[in-house]
Amino acid sequence: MTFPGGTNYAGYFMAAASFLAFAYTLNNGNHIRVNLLLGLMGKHRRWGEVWCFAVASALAIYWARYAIKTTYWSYKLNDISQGQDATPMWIPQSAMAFGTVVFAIALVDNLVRVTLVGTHSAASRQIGD
Amino acid sequence: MEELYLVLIFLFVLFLLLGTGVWVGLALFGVAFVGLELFTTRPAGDAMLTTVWSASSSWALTALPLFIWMGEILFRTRLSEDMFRGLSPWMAKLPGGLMHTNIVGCTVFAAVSGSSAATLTTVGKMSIPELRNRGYPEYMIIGTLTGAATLGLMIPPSLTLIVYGVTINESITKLFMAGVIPGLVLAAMFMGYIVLWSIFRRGEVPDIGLGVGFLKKIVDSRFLIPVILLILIVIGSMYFGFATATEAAAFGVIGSLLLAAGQGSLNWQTFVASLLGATRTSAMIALILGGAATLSLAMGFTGLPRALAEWIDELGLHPFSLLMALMVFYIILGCFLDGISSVVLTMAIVETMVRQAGIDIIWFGIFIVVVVEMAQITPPIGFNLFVMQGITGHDMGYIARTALPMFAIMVLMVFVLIAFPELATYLPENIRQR
Repeated sequence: MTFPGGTNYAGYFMAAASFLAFAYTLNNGNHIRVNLLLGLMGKHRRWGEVWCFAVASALAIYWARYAIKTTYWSYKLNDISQGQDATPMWIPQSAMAFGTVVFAIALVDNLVRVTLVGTHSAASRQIGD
Repeated sequence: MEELYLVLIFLFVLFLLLGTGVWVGLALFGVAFVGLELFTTRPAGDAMLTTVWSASSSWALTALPLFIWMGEILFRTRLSEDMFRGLSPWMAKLPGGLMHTNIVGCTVFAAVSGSSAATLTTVGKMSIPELRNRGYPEYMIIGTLTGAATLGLMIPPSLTLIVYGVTINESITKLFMAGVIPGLVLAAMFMGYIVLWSIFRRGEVPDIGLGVGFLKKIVDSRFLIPVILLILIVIGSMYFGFATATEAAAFGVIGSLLLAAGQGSLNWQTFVASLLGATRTSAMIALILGGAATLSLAMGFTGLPRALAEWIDELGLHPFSLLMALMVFYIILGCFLDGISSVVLTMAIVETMVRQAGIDIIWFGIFIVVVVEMAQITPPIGFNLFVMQGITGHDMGYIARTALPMFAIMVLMVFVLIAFPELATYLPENIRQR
């Protein structure tokens, strides 16, 4: 029994599952980072977090901007998958565009909160909680 | 000369972003952006997103969330109680007694889960209190468990090996098969250490009474049998060519759902919790992989990997010296980064070097996993140390000291691997093709 293009579809769902979950993963504190320096900053840690969120927000906005552009041009140029599935590429790619936009919003949200109030929801947590 | 400045700026940005605590995946993405802007005239954003898309939507990667989910399901079952009850009658007669349940328990759970933190938590939950009650010394309980939990990274399914395989474009099935024998050898070496301990520190081994009869053993371990079957199906189906890594993972998920349902620990809450847990872990790795894909694109333009490979070629460095240098490098790197991040971060450079030196790339995967395993139990950033601290409340320094002998055993394992490369290469070369 074969399912033509099955591997391509699996790949699209893999990408969608990843991109759509970026923001959720961030707010659960599961994205990995190097905590060493932040830990040493003690009571100044907040400003370290501001730097991290600022850089991360800028990068995520850039990422989202080009994810939208890539998806838009796939749609505009009617880019079709090379595989047996022959899917128009903009359909799976829009999950990437949407997911990265939400991720950027989540980072900016945390940036604003950590700058003004000093709290954020991306604190690292252990596995198995 | 100008090239050198550019490379220095590039590396500075890398250390700045990673070191100050920017999330690893985004940091790699940022470094790649800087690299592309410095070394090429073509628009960075478009090239980066094309790379991100093809890396994130690859078929090979789909094994990752499935194996993570399988581990998450079993993590939420009664497996940890069953494991101790099922294993202890078999271990009681060995020199060193029930201490061996730590090692064997970790080996079994490592074969259904790809993460060492999950392995540590699951096995430790039951074996730490039980071993304490029976009077085994604390330093041995903590040390052997912290060390043996790293087997989760080596014995298939291994998340580190999936990430390694995806990064260098090699068969994940082959890498999994390569990990089987070295994983078992390492487990045997850990058990050997316990035997030596029981001989030289006879006074510390508590008397736990006589063993039980064979029939009683079977009855006690009846709950473990389905788990063993599941492991055999998952690994066997890959070895005999019935299934690709992703298909084997899907069987594993179905099997563990059935197992959880059979135990009565599968309900809507645990189902959702396992799914969300798997989503988070796999999104976490996907972000790193996405960033790393752009980084290796940028690395190609810097010419750094080729230059380093040529430089090492000119030095006429023996592969053995290269491996020793890499081992030290990864142990240091592992003090600051987790295993998966250090693998994806460095493979962009190291792959060329290793291939140039004529080292088998599948074998190197196992080598890198052993070295990354060591990093899990070294301070200041050893992931297993954190988890162990969370479980027992001991401070990191104490845990690290108790795990030091296990660290030494892993160093020994590196030399065993170098002396007998067949340990890692035999199975992958003999996989049945269908």
